[in-house]
Amino acid sequence: MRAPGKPGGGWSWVLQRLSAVLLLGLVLAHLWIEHFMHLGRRFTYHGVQARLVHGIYDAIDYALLVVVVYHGLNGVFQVVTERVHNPPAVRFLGIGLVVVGIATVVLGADILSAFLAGRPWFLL
Amino acid sequence: MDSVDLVVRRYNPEDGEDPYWQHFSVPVYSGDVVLALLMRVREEIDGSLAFRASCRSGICGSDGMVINGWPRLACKTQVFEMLEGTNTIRIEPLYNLPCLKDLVVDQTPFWDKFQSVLPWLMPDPKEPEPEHERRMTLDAEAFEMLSRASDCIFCQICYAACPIVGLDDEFLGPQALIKAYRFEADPRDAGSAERKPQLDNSEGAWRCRTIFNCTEACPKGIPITRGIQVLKRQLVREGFRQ
Repeated sequence: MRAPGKPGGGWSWVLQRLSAVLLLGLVLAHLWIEHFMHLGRRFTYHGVQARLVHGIYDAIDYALLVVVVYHGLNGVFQVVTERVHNPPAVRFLGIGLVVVGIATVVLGADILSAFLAGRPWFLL
Repeated sequence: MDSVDLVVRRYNPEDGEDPYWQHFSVPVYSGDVVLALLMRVREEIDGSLAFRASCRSGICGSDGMVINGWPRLACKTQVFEMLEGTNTIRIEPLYNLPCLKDLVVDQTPFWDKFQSVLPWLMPDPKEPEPEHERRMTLDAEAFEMLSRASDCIFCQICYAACPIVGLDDEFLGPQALIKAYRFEADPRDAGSAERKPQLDNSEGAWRCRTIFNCTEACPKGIPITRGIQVLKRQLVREGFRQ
């Protein structure tokens, strides 16, 4: 009898679909806030800065950051593991993508927090 | 009477030669299917050409092969539909299975995967023997799906059409998954727990990328991708319940 593969995979499948649905809403909200809500006015750094001190706008951007990083990196993992089947390589890829994901979220949150809190949360 | 240029991928492991393409000029008659051309080649031109065929009616599923780049049943494929302004038909063995000779493939990986999903009805052993006639009902749509999933003729065309099987030969493949679905969807079956290790893993249902090639290629019109998606949702529901 053929041996089954590595157990699991269901969570990844569910979260990929859930994040896709969330992405749709968050991207639309982000585009609306940044590009259409103040249509007609000049698009300036100060305008963006003013919007990013608003808690709800910030929450949308934080959520967008986390969801887009998860969705994108999980997609990369799935595509690569269709070609790469060596377990140590798959593990290395998984850990590498988690590190990249955390670093990207930290960097993005750091940039957003500078507007919200007046100074970056993590880095200079 | 016209003739067609039949280009067949030949391979004989006993020769020690690499596979090559051989051209046959074959007479074609109105209403001919591709299998008729291959039989004409074997009977009148080259008796060494190897291919599988049996019922010639699209029932046995033996004569699956790649015709003009797409897996099909040779007995159900009309020659005139394959010509499309040219005079050439190109025939190869099924993709994703090792070639044994000419158009004959080694079906072992396919059958191993099929068998691994325990494709038989497993009644609940704890359920008492009914004293009266027992009726189990399915809604019309579920019955239709189950019924269509039962139509599989094991032709391996979905398996050959799946690009994920081509990339990852450990993937169960569409046929094993639709067969698993057929029993999972059956209200008389209680074998979910036993099938789960084969289905709920990285090379099981989750490896399917819903490309729909299997559904498009299936000569019996089975909505394979849809069945696999139902299977995935069922696995998620069971996961939440546990």
